[in-house]
Amino acid sequence: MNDSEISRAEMRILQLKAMIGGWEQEITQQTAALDRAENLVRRCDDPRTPNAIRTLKPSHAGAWRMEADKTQALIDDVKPKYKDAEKEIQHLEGQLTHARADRADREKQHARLIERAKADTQIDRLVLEREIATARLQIAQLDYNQQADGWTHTLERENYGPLRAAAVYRLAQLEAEHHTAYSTPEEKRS
Amino acid sequence: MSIVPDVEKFALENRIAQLKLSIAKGQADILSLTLGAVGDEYRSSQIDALQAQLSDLEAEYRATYGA
Repeated sequence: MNDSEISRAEMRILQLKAMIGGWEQEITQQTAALDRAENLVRRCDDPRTPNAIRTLKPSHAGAWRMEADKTQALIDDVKPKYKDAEKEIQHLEGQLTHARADRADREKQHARLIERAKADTQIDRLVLEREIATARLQIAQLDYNQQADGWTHTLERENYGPLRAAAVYRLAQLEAEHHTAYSTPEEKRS
Repeated sequence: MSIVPDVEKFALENRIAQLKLSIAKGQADILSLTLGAVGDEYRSSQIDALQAQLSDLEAEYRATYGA
């Protein structure tokens, strides 16, 4: 279920619930009419009721029967529709529960992918920073070896100058790359 | 003037940079959706251990060379 199908299902549920509310109201009103008709007949049976009214009993009884028939007809009409509507609501709500869970999963996965992309960017930066730290260490190590004559390879002693120049050049390149990629606009201007 | 301290300082900075990178890679692995719950938990415990090492090294760096 995509987002628009979810919206349509939610709208349909609201529509069905409104229909159920309408039928319930109709039945309540019809039941009230039936009660009123029944009361009139009961009043006719009460010896305290004036004769003029009691003589109307056949007419009231007829109205009562009519209201009773109307009530039954309404219930017969509404009952299957009510059942169908409730069944449809139940079905849609089941679908929505799954669809919402799927959507929540998709959103979670999307958020994770964004975080992963951010993490990859951070890794690129940290790789560069580690390379800068390594280049600085390399230069310091060369200087130390030169000063303390701590060379382990003659070739390195003989090539101290070019090796150091290459390391300094490499460091300058890495620092420039870092500056271009990660400095703030203010830092770039300064 | 001895330049040994420079070597030590840059070696420490290098280790700190390497640890930060390892932590970031571990966190990225957790976000990659491929490890599963058990893998996530294992990787999280590894990251915690690396974080502890990083805190120690950063404290050592501050104590020796200032902020």
